[in-house]
Amino acid sequence: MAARDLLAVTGRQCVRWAALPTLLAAAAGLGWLRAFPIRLGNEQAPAAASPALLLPIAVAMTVVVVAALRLWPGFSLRRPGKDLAERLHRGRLGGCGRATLGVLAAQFALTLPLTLLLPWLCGAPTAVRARVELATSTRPLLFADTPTLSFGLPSMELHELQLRPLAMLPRGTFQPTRVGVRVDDRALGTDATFAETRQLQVMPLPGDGARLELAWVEGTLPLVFAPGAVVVLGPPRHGMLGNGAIAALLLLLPTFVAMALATLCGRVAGLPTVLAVAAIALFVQLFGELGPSSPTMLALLRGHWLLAGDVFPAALASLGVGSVAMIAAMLLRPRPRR
Amino acid sequence: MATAISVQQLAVTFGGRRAPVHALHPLDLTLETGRIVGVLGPNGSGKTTLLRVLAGLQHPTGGNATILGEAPDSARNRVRVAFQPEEPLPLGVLSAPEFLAWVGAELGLSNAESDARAARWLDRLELRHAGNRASRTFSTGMQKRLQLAAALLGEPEVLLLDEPTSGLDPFGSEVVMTILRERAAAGACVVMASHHLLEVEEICDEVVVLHGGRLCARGALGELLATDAHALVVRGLGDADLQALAGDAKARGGEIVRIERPRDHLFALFRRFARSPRNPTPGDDGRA
Repeated sequence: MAARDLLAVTGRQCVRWAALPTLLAAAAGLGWLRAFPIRLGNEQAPAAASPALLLPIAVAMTVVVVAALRLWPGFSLRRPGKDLAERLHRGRLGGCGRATLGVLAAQFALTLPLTLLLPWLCGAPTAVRARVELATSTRPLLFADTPTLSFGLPSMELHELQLRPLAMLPRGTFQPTRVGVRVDDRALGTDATFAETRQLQVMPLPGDGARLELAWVEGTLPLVFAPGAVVVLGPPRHGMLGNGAIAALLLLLPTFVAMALATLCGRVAGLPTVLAVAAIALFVQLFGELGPSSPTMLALLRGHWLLAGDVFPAALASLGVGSVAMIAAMLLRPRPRR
Repeated sequence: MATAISVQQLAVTFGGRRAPVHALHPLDLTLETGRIVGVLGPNGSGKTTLLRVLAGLQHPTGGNATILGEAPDSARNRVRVAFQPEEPLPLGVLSAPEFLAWVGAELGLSNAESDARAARWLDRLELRHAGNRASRTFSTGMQKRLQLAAALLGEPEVLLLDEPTSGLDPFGSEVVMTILRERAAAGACVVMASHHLLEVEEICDEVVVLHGGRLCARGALGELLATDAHALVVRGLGDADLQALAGDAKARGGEIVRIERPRDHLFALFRRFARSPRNPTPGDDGRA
């Protein structure tokens, strides 16, 4: 059946171009993880797989963007067929808006299976659990001179405690710091020991409680329990399918920003320049930690709910940048040409 | 006949104030429906610029133009006016039926109507054999015919064609010219810029001649090409009778410019010896 609308035409062409490279990149990423597995002790470390799994996503993004920019002549100056394209699409974006929607639809179709299947293949949690970051009202430093820190616990079923403090330079001879954990004055089974910064310690919680207390026992490493260093996990709240779908949606934002900047640039530049701008925009967002792609993959692999935490603010910032670029492209009308 | 295109003091200037290039000097023109108008002129004379202004793709720097009573870039004129540019087609990855389906959807035709019209024009312009090949792999002539099919899909009242027959073989040219005659007979105004003077002479009712962006001549072809000479075409006389007839003409005060044996047209020769691969004669492949 013929794709009649520009959105459908662009989407179909992008899928045709990108399907095989994305599949090959996914196979390469998984192969790499199988060949060189990353483990913490005997446990799988799914979040460490993030760079390998970002590879097929990056390939899909790059190929669909390049395919669309080459396909639709409205994206740059002096392209064959631009006159007919302009006559049929007289809107402010000259068809670039619909073509961009086609790109996003194609990428969603390509990345949704990846965000649904790859976490499962990497041993990520099978459900998204309730997750609350605790903060103390006092200075979050734990050492001999401030030997206890108190945190209020949320009113929910408490399953697990995750501690990941920052460690400062040792005061005196190095000795790992041992921390006792109490919930409502009842000590948990064993103490947590920290020998390096950002070291993760996971402890089971008794199910309910109102107050968590961390107490310095011994050691020369001062520990800082900044926001995000003390997290309690509750019962499963969302399925990973929903989280995977949200991840696929959030991963559209770098592509949207790249397409918007390309559309804006294409008002005054030819195809090579437009391709370069889009490629740079994608590269910076994917590998320069600007935008939601890296935090989305990390949160997905750790089993964090994507609509909470710090992923969504990064996504909103990207959405804002892309929208401003698209509006600027609407306002900047193409110059008459000979 | 009603006015299809009206242009008053239309001017287009490119470049800045320091080095302006006047593509069109102030130009007045009125073209009527049901006519085929040829726009002639050397390269850089402003033919394409005039067509792009009429298609709503180029904003004039002076004067104004109306097509069918509205601005060239009005929403209604997007469908009522068709433009066939000289440049290649967009979306070259699509096959001919896919491309026409896209054009039909953009013109607001229903799927059924679009498919029916596309099938008709694909047949008429002999593009059926292209099947599902991407249009970017088409020959120049096939691309031209597909462009014309796209232009005709909306059944426009004004057709603006930039070099519609360049790159076409004689059979393709003949098909295109027949279609253009039919459209004009149906009341459409056809404006074609062309360097093929013989075709323009054969098909156009009137011509507009541009040079350096200025209107040099304009009028009905018969008036522009008329001379004070007359020709007498005779068939069936022998040489002696012909000399006697010439002597009689001289005796009456006439001047014999030349006596020649008329030749057939080159196209007739082409048709006699070449066969279109798109229209194999029955029996050519030994089966029919």
